[in-house]
Parts: sequence; structure tokens; C-alpha cells
Amino acid sequence: MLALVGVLLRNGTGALGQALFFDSVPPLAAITGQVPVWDGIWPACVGTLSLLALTMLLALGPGIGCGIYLASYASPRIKALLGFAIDLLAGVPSIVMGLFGFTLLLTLRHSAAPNAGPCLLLASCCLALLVLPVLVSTTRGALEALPRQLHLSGAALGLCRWKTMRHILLPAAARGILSGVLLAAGRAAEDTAVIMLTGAVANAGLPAGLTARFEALPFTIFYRSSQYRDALDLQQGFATTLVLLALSLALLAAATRLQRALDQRWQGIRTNRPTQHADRHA
Amino acid sequence: MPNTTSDFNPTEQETQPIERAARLKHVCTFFDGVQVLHDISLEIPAHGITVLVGRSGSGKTTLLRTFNRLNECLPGCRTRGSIHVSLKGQFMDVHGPAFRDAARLRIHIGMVFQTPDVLPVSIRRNIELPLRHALGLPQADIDERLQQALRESGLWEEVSERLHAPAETLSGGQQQRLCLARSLAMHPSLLLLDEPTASLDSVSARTIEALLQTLRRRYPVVMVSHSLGQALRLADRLVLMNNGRIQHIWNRQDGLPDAPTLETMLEDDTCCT
Amino acid sequence: MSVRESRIASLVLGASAIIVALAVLAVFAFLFKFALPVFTGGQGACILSGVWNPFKGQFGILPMLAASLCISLSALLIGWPLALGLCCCMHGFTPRPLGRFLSILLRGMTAFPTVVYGFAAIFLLVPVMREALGHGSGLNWATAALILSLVTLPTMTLVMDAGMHQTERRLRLTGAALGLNRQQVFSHLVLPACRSDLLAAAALGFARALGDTLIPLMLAGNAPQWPTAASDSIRTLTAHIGLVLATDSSSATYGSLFVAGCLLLLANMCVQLMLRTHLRTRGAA
Repeated sequence: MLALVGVLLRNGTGALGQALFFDSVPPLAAITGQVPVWDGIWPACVGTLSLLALTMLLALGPGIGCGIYLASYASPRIKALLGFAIDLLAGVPSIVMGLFGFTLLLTLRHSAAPNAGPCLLLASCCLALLVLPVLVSTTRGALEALPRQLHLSGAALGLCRWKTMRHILLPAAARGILSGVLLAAGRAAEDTAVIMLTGAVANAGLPAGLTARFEALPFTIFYRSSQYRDALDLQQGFATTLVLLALSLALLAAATRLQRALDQRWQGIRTNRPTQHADRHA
Repeated sequence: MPNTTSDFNPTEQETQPIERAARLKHVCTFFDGVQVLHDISLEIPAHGITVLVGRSGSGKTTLLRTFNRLNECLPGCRTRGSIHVSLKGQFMDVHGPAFRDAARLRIHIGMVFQTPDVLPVSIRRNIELPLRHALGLPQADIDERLQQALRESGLWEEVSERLHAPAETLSGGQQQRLCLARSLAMHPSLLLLDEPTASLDSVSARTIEALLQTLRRRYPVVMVSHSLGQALRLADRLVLMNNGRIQHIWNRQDGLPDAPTLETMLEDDTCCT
Repeated sequence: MSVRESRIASLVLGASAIIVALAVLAVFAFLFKFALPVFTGGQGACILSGVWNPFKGQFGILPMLAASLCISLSALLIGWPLALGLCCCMHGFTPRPLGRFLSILLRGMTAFPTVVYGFAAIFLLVPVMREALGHGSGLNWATAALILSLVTLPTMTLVMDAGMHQTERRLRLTGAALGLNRQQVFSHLVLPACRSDLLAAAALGFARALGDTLIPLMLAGNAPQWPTAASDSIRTLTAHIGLVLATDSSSATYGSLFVAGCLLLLANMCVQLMLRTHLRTRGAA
């Protein structure tokens, strides 16, 4: 593993820099989209980020909602049925999910929207389906792992079911739920198979809208690995993997920070007073 | 000793003469079809402490939880019979239309569990949380009630300096008093205590007992106890349970049994079953 | 106010459950709907035959199915013992700091994009393979299986570790009181108690290996032939779907895609069902 990272670093750092992202276009113009970037990976970065944002937007609500429903609202029968359905969905390989997007597109073309093509929206719908089971099962797991006493305490304090959930159970399970969100975001960011079939292309510039094709980092890496022409291309490929890696790790770090901040806000704990620690241990 | 007639308040007479805090009539409770409580009828006096004693599995805790319908939070539970509790001067049917949502009943009934169930948040937030979200009080009232409750439970001196510390950093006895304070801050009409000292050392247990001695004048208390000594020290009314039935009831005015007698009765129960 | 809030909450939660259920149904319905005409149209026998040669009108995907199974099974055979070994390391067979380091490393590895493995392997492992075999491109069964086992390794290890962690915490004191040291507790008490976790890890690893597209696509060579030796270039079902759709060849080949997708779905369903029935019988016993 370390060797892998080492090799990536050694080969990639040389190409990291302005040229990698923006080719020869001035950064400001590239960022604002005034001048198209053809050889840089900036459009791919933006593509991946917007894909990620859209996917999470689509998946977070139903995913966490369904997890909560399964953990504490559903009857045992529904629990078993829906739980099984979600396990099945979790087992669907990402390429098959891409294929589903493709069939969806074919159907749309034959019926409602004859002009529909592979696009950002379609890709993020399919990705959302792909990460949905992760969200559902981690949310459910985190809530069910809480001690039963916490439910009773909430009820005994006169909080209704939703308020117990909202003010006691959800905050207590926030850590687990967030790690599920992180896991889901990680999968959405790295997945290549789905977007390969539903809208990612090698050269699209900045994503022009929900119905436009787009570039994405993992697809760029895949594309470069099969199509590189010279040493510079190769080096850029390595650098791109580094960027994707950095993005994944940044997600991890952000989630950890967010988690800590949320915990502190809910618990109302301030730990900046040293005396406090002293008498805690006393 | 509290006298049930001395606090008699004529203005409340129209609804019901308030001398009872609660009344159970023919209450039966089942878990997954197994009957746990058999036809329980019991009156809880408006003042003083009613102590439920009995062997493990005799249904004490289930009986305690019928008062705030907490059994409903456990799977497969069914309750029959009538349960009335005096809330804010009115004698109300807890299964009645006013309490279709059990939460509206539970905000009037404080409960303390066997193991301290402090929420994994700060000391202050523990008391604030139900006040804000269950009662919807404004911050000023919350602060006032917080301080008052902590003083009532004798915790104020110990924790006023570190209200923002995690509640888990308190000792077991302090945690249990925090739970009690949390219930008191809600200004309950009835206090339910489920073996509040069972998980504590003897010194902390004594502190809680002393606290209960001061609270008995202000709140009707129903408590489950495993310690016969404690039951005899605290009880104004002592209820002996066996196998989901009430075996015997004593009132302090009429004299409580002595410890050996009570112990023999407990042991006799096992012979009979 | 509070009543309305909680009513809205339960409506929203119920709705999201329904959305999820519909989504699952939609995925299955669409794929089967597109695969069915292939069989009713009389193309079925052709698709489930052993030769893929679109120019002669032969669309057999059985070689791909065999390749998928071979690659994922061999990846499992390499990866599962490794995962088990790593788990042992993390539970007392190595000094504690190393165990901690391993678990952090594994957690980091789950965040590693698959495409990065593939990319690195093309430039690190493939030349080595080419040298070692002395012929071919180095893109073959063995390369893909090796990398695939690396990809599935962290998932499997973490599943095992989660189960073992629970069990170990429960059994450690009991074991210690019986005079067993940490290793003995682990091998005599924890491991036997975790058999279903080990199985679940294997099932999960197999499912991931079977479903992975990028590694076979980048590393297995993509020749549609029956796998006979580890140095063969082969094409898996997943890579097949990716290739055909990406190269956008004639629509006659599309039929085979939907069948391939359905086969993958069914394979995963079988794994899930087996795991479930196994867990249930264990739970009942």
C-alpha cells in the first residue's frame, strides 16, 4: 500500500501544478468558464464535484429517511421485506446500475423525451440509487445499535416518538449516520462504471447543465490509462489519480470535523476549562 | 407524618376530592400474550411514598410503568383496565381521549430508572432538553427551573461550576440525583422511581433516601425497592406483590410489619408458587 | 404545532421508504423487461451459447460468465485468507501499535478509488507479469485476480474485524479468567464464535469482485474466450457490458448486455439468499 502511494507520489508530483488543471488557459478565466479548457483536468474536477453534490442531494433524503423508518417506524413484516429489498439493491453491481440508467434512457427516448441523452442528471440518479443502500443500512444500524434505555428515557421524559428521534436518538446516532454519508460520498466520487454508461465523456468542458454531458475525474483516469500517447500524458494521469485521492481523503477529513462539531453542539459540552478536567478526575 | 386530610383543598372538590394521586382498577397487562399483571386494583395516596416490594419478576416494574404507559414502548404489550391519575388537580383517565398521544401524559409524570439514564450530553442540556422540547418553555423559565431543580435534588453546590461538563463525568449517585432533578424540573404530578438506589453504593443510596424524605411532602411518589430496610424506612404505604398480584398492603398509620416478618412473607411467596 | 410536526415527520419517513422500495422495484423491472424480449424473440439459445463472434452472428456470453466466476473466485481465494490473516494481526498476534496502524491503513484503503488501483497496476504489475510469463501483454486472469483481491481486501477485513471486535470484547474477560492468553482466546473462543462473520465477509467480497467493472476492464485483457489458464486474457460480464456500450457497436449485441446484467443480478441475489438462509438457520439453532 505504502509503495503504491509512494510510486503515485513520485510519478505524479512532477505534473501537479497549474498546467495540470488548466492547461495553458489563465486560471481565472478557466474557473469562471470564459475560456474552455481542453487538456487540463479542471473540468473533470468540477464535473466530479457537481456530480457528487447532485447525487448526495438526491440520495440523502430518501436514504436517511428510509433508514429511520426501518429502525423505528416500520412493522416487523415491512422491516423484513424492505430490508431484503435493500440488501438486494446493495448487491447490484455498479455496471448493472449503469445499464439500468441506459435502459431508462431508452425508455425515455421511446416515450416522453425523444431527445434525451446521457447527462449529468441521469448519471447522478443512477449513482444515487447505487449509494442509497449504504445510507439506509448505516442509518438503520446506527439507530438500532443505540441502547434501548435511550428510547425509554425519551418517552419517560414526555417526548413524543418524533421528538425522541429528533432530539435524542438522531444526535446520539449522528456519528454512525455521518460515517454512512461519508462512505456513500466516497463511493459516488470514485465510481466509474455507472457514469461511463450514463454521461461521462472525455472532453466536454465544464458541465453546462443538468442535461449536459460532463467530465469526471475517475473517468479521466480510466481514459488516460488506455489512451496515453507520451510520458507527459502518463505523468498527468498519475497526477490526476493523486487529485482524486486527495479529494477522497478531504471528504474523510471534512466528515470527521463535521462530526465533532455536531457532537459538541448537541451535547452542549465546553471543554476549554482546565479546572473542569481536574475535578473530573478527582 | 403527612396526613391525607390536612392538605384538603375545597376548591378542588368539584372534580374529585383530591386525596388520591392515582387509582388503578382491574388492571391486567400482557406481554406477547403472557399475563404479567393480574387484576390489580390499587390506590396511591396524594402524599407520601408508596413502596412496591416483591421478588424479581413479580411485576413491580411493570405495575410502575402502567402509570405513565411506558409499557407501550416495549414490543408486544397490551393493557386492560382503568388507570386514573390526578394531574394538575384533575382526576384523569390516562387511556382517555386527552391522552391519545402518551407523551402528553408522560410530561406530567416523572420517572427515574434503576440505572441512571443520563443522556450522553452535558449536565445542563440533560435538564434543558425535555423542558425545551417536551414543554416548550422559554429560556428564562428553563434557567429558573434548572437551578431550582438542582437545588431541590441537592446537586447545585456540586455541579453549578461545571454545568457544561458531560453528565457521564458525574459519579453514579450524582447521576441518579441529576435524573431526579430532570424529573423535578418538569413539575410532575406524580413521581415514579424504579429501584433508584439499586445501582449505588450505600452512602449514595442514603443521600437519595434523605432526598426522598424531603420530597415526600411535595410530591406523591411510587417507588419499587429491593431493599426491605429501605422500604420500611421510606414507605407511607407498603405494597407486597407476588406473581403479578397484590399480596398485601400496609399503611404507616396502621403500623408496618417488621423486617423479619416481611422477609418471611417474601420467602413464603416463593413456596406458594 | 408539535403534533403537526410529528405527523409530517412520519409522512416524510414513510414516503422515503416508499421511494426506496419503488427504486428497487424499478431497477429489477427495467432490466428484466429489456432482457425478456431477447428470449421471447428467439435469440435466447444464441446468447446462452459458448461462442462470441458478433460478425458471424454469434452472441454467446457463457465464456464471459465463466470468466466472471473464475476471476471473482480466485480473487476470493487470494483475498479471504489474507483478510483473515490481517484480522488475526489486528487482534493480538502483533504488537498493539502495529495493529492500530493496520486498521487505520485499511480504513484509508476503503477510500481508495478502484480506478487508482487499476491505473497503478497497469504500470506496476502488468510489466512484471509480462516479464514473468515471457509472452502476452500481461493483461490476464492472474493480474486482474490479484488486484481484485487487493480491492476487496479492506471490505472483507473490516467486516470480519467488526464481528470479531464485538465477540472479543464479550469473551476476553471470560477467557482471561480461564487462564488463556490473548492469542489463545482469539483462536479458541473468538474465531469459532465468528464463523458467520467470516462467511458474510466472504460473500461480500465475492459479490464485490463479481460486480467490479474497472479492474477486469483495465487488466484482464478482454478477450472473449473460455478461461483455461491463469495467463489467459479473459473478459468478464461486467467488462463486457462496459466495452459494448462504450464502443457503441451494432444494436444486435445489446440483447446480450441485458442478459448479462440480469445474470449478474441473479448471481448477487443467490449470494444474498444463501447468506440469509444460512444466518437464519444459525440464528434459529
